[in-house]
Amino acid sequence: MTSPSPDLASLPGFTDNLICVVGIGRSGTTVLKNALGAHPQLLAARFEAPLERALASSFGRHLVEAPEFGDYVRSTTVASWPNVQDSFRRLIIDAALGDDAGRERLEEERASGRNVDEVSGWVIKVGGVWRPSIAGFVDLFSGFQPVYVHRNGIDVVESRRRFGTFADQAFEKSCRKWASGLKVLRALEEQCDVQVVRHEDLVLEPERVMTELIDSLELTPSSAPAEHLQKRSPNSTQNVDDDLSVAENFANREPAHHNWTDDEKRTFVAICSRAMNTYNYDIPFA
Amino acid sequence: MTTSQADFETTQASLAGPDGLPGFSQNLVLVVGVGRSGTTALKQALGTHPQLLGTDHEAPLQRAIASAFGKHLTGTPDFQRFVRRATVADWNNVETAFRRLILEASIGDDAGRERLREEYDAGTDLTNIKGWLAKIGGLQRPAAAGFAGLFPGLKPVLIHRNGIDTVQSRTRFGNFAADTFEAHCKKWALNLRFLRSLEEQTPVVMVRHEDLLQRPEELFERVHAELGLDPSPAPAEHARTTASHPTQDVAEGETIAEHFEGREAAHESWGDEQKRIFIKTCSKAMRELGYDIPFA
Repeated sequence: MTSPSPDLASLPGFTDNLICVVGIGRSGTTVLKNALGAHPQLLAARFEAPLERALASSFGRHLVEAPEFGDYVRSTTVASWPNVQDSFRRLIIDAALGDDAGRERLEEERASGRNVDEVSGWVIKVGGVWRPSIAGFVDLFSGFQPVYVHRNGIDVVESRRRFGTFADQAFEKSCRKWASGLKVLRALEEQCDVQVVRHEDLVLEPERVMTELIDSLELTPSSAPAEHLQKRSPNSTQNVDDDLSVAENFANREPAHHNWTDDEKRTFVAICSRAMNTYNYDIPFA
Repeated sequence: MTTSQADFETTQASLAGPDGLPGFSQNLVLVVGVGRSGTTALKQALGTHPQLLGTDHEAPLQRAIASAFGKHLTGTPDFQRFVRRATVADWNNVETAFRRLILEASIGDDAGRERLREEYDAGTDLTNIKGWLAKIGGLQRPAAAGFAGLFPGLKPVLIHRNGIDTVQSRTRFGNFAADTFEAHCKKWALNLRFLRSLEEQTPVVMVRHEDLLQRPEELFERVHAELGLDPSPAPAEHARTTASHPTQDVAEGETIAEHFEGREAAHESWGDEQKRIFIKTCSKAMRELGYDIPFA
C-alpha cells in the first residue's frame, strides 16, 4: 500500500510560516515576492492574494472590535473554534497555492528538481492590508511575518499611470493610494514586527538588502534571492536594455516627473508630502 | 455499530449533495432584520417547520465570511476577473469550502453531524429537511452577494417593525441600550439598504413584525408559499405562544398579541429633540415600509 502523496501543509511548520509582502501596487511587491520565493526554504504564490486578504479580514474583524463583539462572535459560532481556524487556514493556503494544500504545486516543485524537504514557509503578496486582515493573519498563522516594501512616491505614481488597470485611475487617486501606504505600514506596526524594504535599495544593493532581510526572517543564508533580483525586472513599464544590469537600467531612467504638469505637481505635493518626508524621499519640485 | 447508528449513517449519507454537504444546505433561509424587529421570534418560529433546520444563534461570522466571498462579486468586472485569476484552487472547491465554513459555523463541525444526530434521535425525518435557517442583524451588498453566490437556493426573509417601536425597544434592551438615540434611528433606517442589497440578488420575502404578532396564521401561509415549503401550523402556533427577548414581562394568561397591544405608545416618553431626530433620520424608510409617524 502506497502512502498518499504529501501536501504542503504536511511539511513541518510550513503552514504557520507565512511571509506576506505588502506594498502599494508598482512598489516592487512582485519582484520581492518572487525573489523571496527563490530562497530554498520558501515557496512563493504565483499571484496576488485578494481573496486570501478578504478571508483574513473576515476572520480578524472580531479580533479588532470591542471585546464584547469578539465574545459574541465566538459564542454564536457552533463549530469548534480550532476547527474554524483550521478551515480558514486551509482555505487561504488553497487559494494561494492550489487544492489539497498545494499538492499539485508541491509535485511540480519536486519535478523541477527542488528539494522540497527544505521548504518551511510560504510567501504571498497583497497590495495593502488593514487592521482586520492583519489581525486575521496574525491569529491564523503563528509565524506570520509581514515585509513592507515602499518606493519613491513620484516613481510609483508615474509607474501606475502607465501600467495595466492602474492606468485608468486619476492622477490624484494614484497619489492618494501611494500616500495610504503609510497608514498600511502603521497598521502593520501596531500588531506585529514588520521588515521594511526600500525598493531603491532592493534594485541597487540586492545582496545587502536580501542578506539583511533573510537574516531578519531567520532563514538560512542564501544568495538565490539576490541573484534573482539581479536578472529579473518583472512588470517593467519602461524599455529595458538587456545589455545592462537591472541597476544600470534603473539608474538610466528619466526622472519620473519630467512630463508632469504644474497642477499634477501641486496635487502630488499636497497629498504625498508627509509620506515622502516620513520615508525620506525628496520632492525635487516642492 | 448499533442498528440506530447504522441507520443514522445511512440516512446522513443519503443527504449528501454533489458538494459532499447535506443537499439541504444549498437552500438557506436567511432571516434579516435590525435588532429588536422580531428576528429571533421569526427564526424560532420558522425553525419549528418540519422542512427547515433551525439554528440557535445569530450568524455574525457567517456574514463576514459571505462578505469576504461576495466582495469580488460586487466589484468591477476587472476586479472579479483579477480575484478569480489570482485564486489557484479550483473555483468550485473554493465555493464549497466557503459554504462548508458558513454551514459549520451555524450547525457545528463535520457539516453539523452532531446536530443532525440529535435531530435524528429526537425523531426528526432528516430526509424531509429542505433547507436551513440563519439570522443576521443586517447586511450590505458584499454579504448579500456572497450568500446568493454560495447558496443557489437562498431565500432572504426581511422582517421589519415600526421604527418608533424598534428605536424605543433598542433604548431599553441589553447592549443596544448603550447606543445614542440617533444611532438607533440610523440603524433602523438601514432596513432600506438591507432590502436593496438583497433585492439586487434575489426576491425577498417581506415580513411585518406586527403581522407576526397579530395574524401569524395568515402570515405563515404566505411565507411558506414564498419559501416553497409545505403548509404547517407549527410556526404560527409558536409565534402565538412564545415571546422572544421581550423588554417587558408577559403576564400569565396574556397572549403575545395582547401583550403588545397593551403597551403605551412607544414615543410617549420621547422629547421634541428625539422626535425631530427620528423624523429626520427615519421618514423615508417609514414611508417606504408603510408606517405612519404620528408626531410628524
